[in-house]
Amino acid sequence: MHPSLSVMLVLADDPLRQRLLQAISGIERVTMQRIFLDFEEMTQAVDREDAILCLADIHRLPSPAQTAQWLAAFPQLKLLILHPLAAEARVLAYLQAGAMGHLAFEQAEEQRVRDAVRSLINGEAYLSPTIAGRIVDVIAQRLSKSKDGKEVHDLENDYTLRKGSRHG
Amino acid sequence: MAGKIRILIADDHRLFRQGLRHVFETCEQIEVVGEAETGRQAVMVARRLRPDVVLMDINMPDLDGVQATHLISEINPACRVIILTMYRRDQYVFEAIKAGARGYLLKDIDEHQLIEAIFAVQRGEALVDPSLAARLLDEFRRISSQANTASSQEALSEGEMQVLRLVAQGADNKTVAEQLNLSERTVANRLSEIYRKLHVNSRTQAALVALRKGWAKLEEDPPKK
Repeated sequence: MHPSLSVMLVLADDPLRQRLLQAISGIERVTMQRIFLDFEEMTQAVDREDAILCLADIHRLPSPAQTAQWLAAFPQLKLLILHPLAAEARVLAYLQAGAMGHLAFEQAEEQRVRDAVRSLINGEAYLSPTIAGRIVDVIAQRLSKSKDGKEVHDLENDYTLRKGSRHG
Repeated sequence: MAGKIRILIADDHRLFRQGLRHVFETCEQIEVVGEAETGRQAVMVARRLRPDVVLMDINMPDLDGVQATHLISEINPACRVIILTMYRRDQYVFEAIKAGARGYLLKDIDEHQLIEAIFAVQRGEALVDPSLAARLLDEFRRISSQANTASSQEALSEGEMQVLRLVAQGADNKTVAEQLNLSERTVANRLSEIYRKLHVNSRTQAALVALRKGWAKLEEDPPKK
């Protein structure tokens, strides 16, 4: 038997909240939802309810720096950001702060919400292709910079070692 | 037809290549223009046919998919490579990204998701299997954190950094002034500038920042009068 989970919601508008609740209700293991409109109020409840998943409207969250501190205080908590498509650039800051995924309001149909929630429950991340593209760009740039040998990333060593073992 | 996305399938299993061809037959916007069964062949075919997207296996004879991706990206930077593999390994993802891949997907992917992935990489976006995306995020955070550290360090002048190192070792303003041949007033001015740049309010906070970022070490001998 899977352990039961809690889902914390911080939402501004009713249509989105209803959509999310409907999507979540179809997910196995998610047995409890709590709805909040205020971040502080939710923070008090996260500890009390032993929550492990939070779906949060980006507008209801504090700054990325404060969100990072908050997430650091609750390491078991996975944060999924919900945001307007136009605010996708802001999502990167929250992913840096520790959020494990994001979903645009406009794309938050039931199946996508379920996929995203399942991904986070399974310890995975949920990224849109646009955001993944920006992250891949940053990493690729960094990895190519490390080629000069001045600041060799650990991955370089792993790469060489594993290449040897693969062909050996 | 103009606007079709031209695909090259590189995989050493014929049945898998045939399966993919079959999948794309149902999609009018995608055209399979070539196949390759080794990495070296993939590079040659990609050079000749200049596909928009390559679906690349990792484990192939004579040249693996990562090496082939690297060569194809050098020959034709506009070509987008999606790694399509059975390997759910973090390290392969970074090898693939370093080689120039824009996608890393597992072979158990749903056909509709694969088609969406092809459109996404063609738009300049990227896709990584969710089971590996968490590691991608970790790396992104690590790089971002290093970049923030570097930019903070650049904000301090060498003179300010000298003052900060001594402060982190417990030196008072008078000691710092003697060590650096400065007036106490100059030390105080530099400290004010350090506080402003590091967004701190006290010498203790500034010292903690210096120690945390590795700019100063406690074990160094404190300055002597």
